[in-house]
Amino acid sequence: MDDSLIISKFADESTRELAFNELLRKYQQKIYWHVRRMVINHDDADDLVQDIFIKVWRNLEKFREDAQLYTWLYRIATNECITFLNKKKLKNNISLDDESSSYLSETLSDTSYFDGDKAQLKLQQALLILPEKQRLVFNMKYFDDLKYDEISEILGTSVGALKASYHLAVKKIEKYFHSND
Amino acid sequence: MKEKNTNYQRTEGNDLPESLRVSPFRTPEDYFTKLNQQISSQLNVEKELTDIGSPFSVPTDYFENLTGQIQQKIFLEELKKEVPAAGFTVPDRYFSSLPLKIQEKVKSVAEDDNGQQPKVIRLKKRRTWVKYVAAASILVAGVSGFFSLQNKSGFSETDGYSLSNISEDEIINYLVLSAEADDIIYLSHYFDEHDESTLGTGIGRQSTDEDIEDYINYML
Repeated sequence: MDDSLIISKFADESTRELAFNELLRKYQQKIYWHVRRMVINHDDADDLVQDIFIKVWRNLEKFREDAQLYTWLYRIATNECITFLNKKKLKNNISLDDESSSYLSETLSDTSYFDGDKAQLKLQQALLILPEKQRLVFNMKYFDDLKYDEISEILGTSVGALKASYHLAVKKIEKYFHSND
Repeated sequence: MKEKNTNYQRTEGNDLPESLRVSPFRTPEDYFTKLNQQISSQLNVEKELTDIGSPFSVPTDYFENLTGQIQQKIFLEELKKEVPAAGFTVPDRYFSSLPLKIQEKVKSVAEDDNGQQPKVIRLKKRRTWVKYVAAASILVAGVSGFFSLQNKSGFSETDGYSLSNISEDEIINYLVLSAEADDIIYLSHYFDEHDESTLGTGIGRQSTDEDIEDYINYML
């Protein structure tokens, strides 16, 4: 079912549940992995994904079709992740101005459901030295293969700034890999 | 036009005859007059082209950064080969059970949303709490006044000037609205008592005016 059909079926109360099921089936994995890569821990990601789709269910009727449905979903998911991570920072007495994601290192080492090899672990460790927004850009470009235009729509940042951000992120990761060989 | 041989050095008796000293080559007519113009116009064209420059340009420091960018691309390509995915996993059958979990949550949220009205009323009650406190203050002041009058004029409780004369609804409304949960349990003891033992004669007989007055003072 394509996105416009999902939206129109959702607007009709008699087919709302069916449309929402279809939306879940279509996007749950994309959204889950987007969230999981940001919050690292499966249980946190699970809670967030549920909250995200509840928000989607509450607001889908108001969704305007001048944006793509999946960029809208990504935007909700991204905002939820940032809110969650800010709360986590406050809980760990870390200033919100501290941009690094290093406070998640412990989460990464403690997390269950990580079957990554040495290189995968090393990349995740390298990603945690990045500021959160840079990590977001890197994840969306590297793992989700999203275009800069799409990321720009999701994050509300210019394409030029995103390119610079991605370039800097790769540079830092490259440096991390070379210094931790 | 023929060129005269300009190489004219006296070589004594070895000189060629004059007729052979003329160049056999010719040039087109007005060649040398036109050549000058052709050279200067060619020079002008070249000068203008140099001034216009190439129509293409590159970003500032492009060539300085190019090597680094190529190296970065190679690094990224190798990284993608080595690390194509993040390495995270999920519990077995997680994605097959997730939609149901979300649907159930959505249903309960929808029910909560429908049942949100009492919460709004509760907030309104909180806002009017001050009103009841004020009413209670007047009540206490009134009670105190009655007590002092009672002492001065020798009225006794049996004369009817006690809390039992204040409307039961007024007291119950105030106490219920301003009391904490534990206090409600405490108070219910007296209300239950009243329901069982008395009919229409004010708040429970086993509670003295002092008990109630103490409670109101404590609450304020």
